[in-house]
Amino acid sequence: MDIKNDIRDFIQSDLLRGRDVPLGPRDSLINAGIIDSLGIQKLLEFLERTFAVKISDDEIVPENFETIDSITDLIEAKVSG
Amino acid sequence: MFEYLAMRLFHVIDNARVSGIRSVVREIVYAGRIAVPVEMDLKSLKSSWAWPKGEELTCIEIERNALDHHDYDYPYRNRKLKAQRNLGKGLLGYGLLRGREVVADLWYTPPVISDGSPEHPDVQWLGILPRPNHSYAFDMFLAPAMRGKNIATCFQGSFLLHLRDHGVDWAYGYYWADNIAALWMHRMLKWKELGRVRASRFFGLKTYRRIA
Repeated sequence: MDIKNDIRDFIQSDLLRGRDVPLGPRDSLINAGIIDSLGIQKLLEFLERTFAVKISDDEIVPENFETIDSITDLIEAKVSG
Repeated sequence: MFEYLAMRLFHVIDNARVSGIRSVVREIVYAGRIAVPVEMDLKSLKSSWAWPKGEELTCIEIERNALDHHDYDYPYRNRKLKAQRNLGKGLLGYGLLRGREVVADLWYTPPVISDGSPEHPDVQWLGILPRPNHSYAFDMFLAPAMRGKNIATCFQGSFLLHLRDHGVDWAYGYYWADNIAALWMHRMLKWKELGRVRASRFFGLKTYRRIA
């Protein structure tokens, strides 16, 4: 399971919906307007379904969802813990 | 009374159309729902917001005369009735226009003048204690066609700047913890959370208990 690639693929296919936006692992998804109040709901559903994890309210903070790297760190910690 | 009943009826009809009947029922009857009261020191605000490109949007203070003269209008009947009712009660409204259409609005109490000023009923069950130059904001609405464009956060951020520019020092509000979109917006804007209140409601009867 390649968590980072799965997350990147989801963002490109479901949140960007074909828009041609360069997406590096440390690019801010928030500043780019990719993760807004609707985007975060879709992303949470995807993460919980795909990686069989539960993300608590306390973890839904901008720092955890700022970049692909930070989302990957959050999920890896949950999967390994 | 008739005005109130009409507003409630259109509220049910419009919300059922937009969000489904389950959403309407959840507003009227719920048990153990968690509310998160929030506050913000407006001096800590950033000074501008990057609005999404490609939309011609204008923020306004909603005015009774302008509504009555159809200078702008609402796409949803219940929001217009609610606006007229709120304005009639002396509450203030901040809106977002696309053309002549109000596509978002948010309501707030006039800044508290003194410790004895009238308060919004929410203030009591949320355990909020507004002081002079404080304001309570509530009932933000964003038209479904405008969602998913990063507009909600910009709109509320712009509203908070508007409050600050009109002499308000401190703002209060709340969101439901199960409303992820609202949770995200409040955390993006860095509202400070003031614990949790567990609330239950059966039609007009509401009970609440602070749990954190």
